[in-house]
Amino acid sequence: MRMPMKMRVNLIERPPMLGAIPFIAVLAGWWLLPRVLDYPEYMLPPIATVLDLALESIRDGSLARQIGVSLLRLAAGFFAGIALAVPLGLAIALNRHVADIFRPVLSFLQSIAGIAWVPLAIIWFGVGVGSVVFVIANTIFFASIYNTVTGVQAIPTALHRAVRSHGGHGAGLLFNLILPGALAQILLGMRTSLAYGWRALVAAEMIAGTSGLGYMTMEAVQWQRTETVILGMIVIGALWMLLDRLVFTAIERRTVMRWGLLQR
Amino acid sequence: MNESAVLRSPHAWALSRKRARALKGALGVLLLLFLWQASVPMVGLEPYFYPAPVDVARAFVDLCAKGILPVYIADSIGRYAVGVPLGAVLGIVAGVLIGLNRTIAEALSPLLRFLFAIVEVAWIPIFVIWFGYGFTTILLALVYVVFFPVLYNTLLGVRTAPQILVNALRSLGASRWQVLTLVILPASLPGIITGLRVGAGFAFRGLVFAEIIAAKTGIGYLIFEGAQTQQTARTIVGMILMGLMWLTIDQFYLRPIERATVQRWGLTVEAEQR
Amino acid sequence: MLRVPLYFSLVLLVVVGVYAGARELDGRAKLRVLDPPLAQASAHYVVHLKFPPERFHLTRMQDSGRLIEVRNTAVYMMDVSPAAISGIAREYWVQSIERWPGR
Repeated sequence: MRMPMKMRVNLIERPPMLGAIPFIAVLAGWWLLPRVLDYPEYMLPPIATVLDLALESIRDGSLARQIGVSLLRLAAGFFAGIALAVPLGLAIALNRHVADIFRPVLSFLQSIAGIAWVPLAIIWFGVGVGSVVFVIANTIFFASIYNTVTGVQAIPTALHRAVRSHGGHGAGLLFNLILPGALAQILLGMRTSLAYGWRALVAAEMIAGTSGLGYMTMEAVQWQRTETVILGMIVIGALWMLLDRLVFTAIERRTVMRWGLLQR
Repeated sequence: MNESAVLRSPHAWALSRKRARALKGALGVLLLLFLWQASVPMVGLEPYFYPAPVDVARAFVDLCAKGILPVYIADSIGRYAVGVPLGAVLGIVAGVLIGLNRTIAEALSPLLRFLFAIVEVAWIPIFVIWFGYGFTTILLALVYVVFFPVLYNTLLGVRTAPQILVNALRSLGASRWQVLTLVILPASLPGIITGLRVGAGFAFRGLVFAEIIAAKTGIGYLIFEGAQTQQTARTIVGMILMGLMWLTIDQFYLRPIERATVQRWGLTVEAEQR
Repeated sequence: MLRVPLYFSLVLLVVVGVYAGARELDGRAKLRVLDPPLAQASAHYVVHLKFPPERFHLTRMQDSGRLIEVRNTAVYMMDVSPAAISGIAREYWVQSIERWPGR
């Protein structure tokens, strides 16, 4: 059983406010710092500046626009990647020899998928949306296809034989054995591929974007608008927490709760 | 492993399973190269847009002859080899310190979770503002991205260490340090290694990104510079090298360490077998 | 099983060591032919490369002294310290080094 990457400690006994204390401490420290230390403002703008910026960009809708644009690209890249990867992966994995031939190549390509493709994407699609979506789709594609192939290959041979001996073949085999068997791995892979895809989104927007959260955060460095950088960071963090939680619960509902504990 | 029950072929020339798979894998690589080379005249675009494998090979030789590649590789490896262990050590230390006290662990966990949600990529801009371009920024990004997965897993391990063993040792008069090193750390080790593996993977991608933004040497920089100077073959050399470097790191360091800890401590946590 | 990382690291160290040793010998050979020979003070040198230098090489040169001119495969420098020119001599992409009167 793989150790979960995120820690889920049950806070049943302790009051939930306990978790808020470090946040309050950080905010208090931030508020206090310019009053006790002397440093240039661009290093760490006072908390009020960031709040003002946040409120303003919420009010005039610019923050919502950046968030929307980024999420749209993520969705486009995610679905494009999955739509190509899962069928192709299944097709490859159906024949054991074909799978053995392509698995090392796919593993290799997966290790370089994503951010390393940004410069190439810029040559092909120029700076802008095309490059960003391509990089995201690329990341998701290679991560998912590798997971699909390994997922199908991990289906116990005994099960294969059992279904076959009952006369299952072709489409029946696909829907009754392969898809359910590999689905757990595919869905789990989706969570990791989304994690990589999210990073690819932010990174690609920083290098090759003309809008979006990543672009907004990186561009502000040029103008030393550190408050924009900080706002961008906070929004990126909050968004990812939401996304990951959404995906995780969705996956958990479909796998653990449908089939009981995941078997490896 | 599921395949152990399969009958071995009686023929003398039959290859072992492992060797057969290795050959098939090599076939896959060759197939890819062949398709790539064949597609070049079909795509019919200039080499800076769609370089052929021969262009890439030529660029590789060129980069080596000009002494650029050894320096770039060395710089990338150097940054990685300093950042990842440092992040891991800090993560373990922090995980143990935080984990030993349950209240602190539960109080800090939401903040830590939020900080890690701010992906390492998003920290680069502020690191650049604080530390400028160069080694410090890159190192910090690497340490950051390895720190959190290792921290979480250490924390988890410390918190879920078998209480029976802890009590047993305590009743025998063991000091806190002994309890730590004899029970808690070994129990958390498989988890820590998994966290390390996750962190190392993120760190590798992060390294490339950090080098694109904040470095003047390195494989990530090579990938970027190649595209910038219309020498796309160099970019591809960089990408392939990146894959080879990860292969080396994974095969020669991460997986052996993972296997060693699982085997040594005999715990039922199974490493992923591939 | 920890043998694998250990052995691999050792092999790497040995390879790096051999490489460094070869560079040192090569560098000394290039400096031996200097006339007058290498002294304590800074001097002016022409570094001959095997190819026209790229940004990478010019940056390397700039860190070593004053870059004056680049003529095809020759890089003219002034006020290069002995330590710096030794460093440049070690690079395998440097064909030869000679002195020049400077400007």
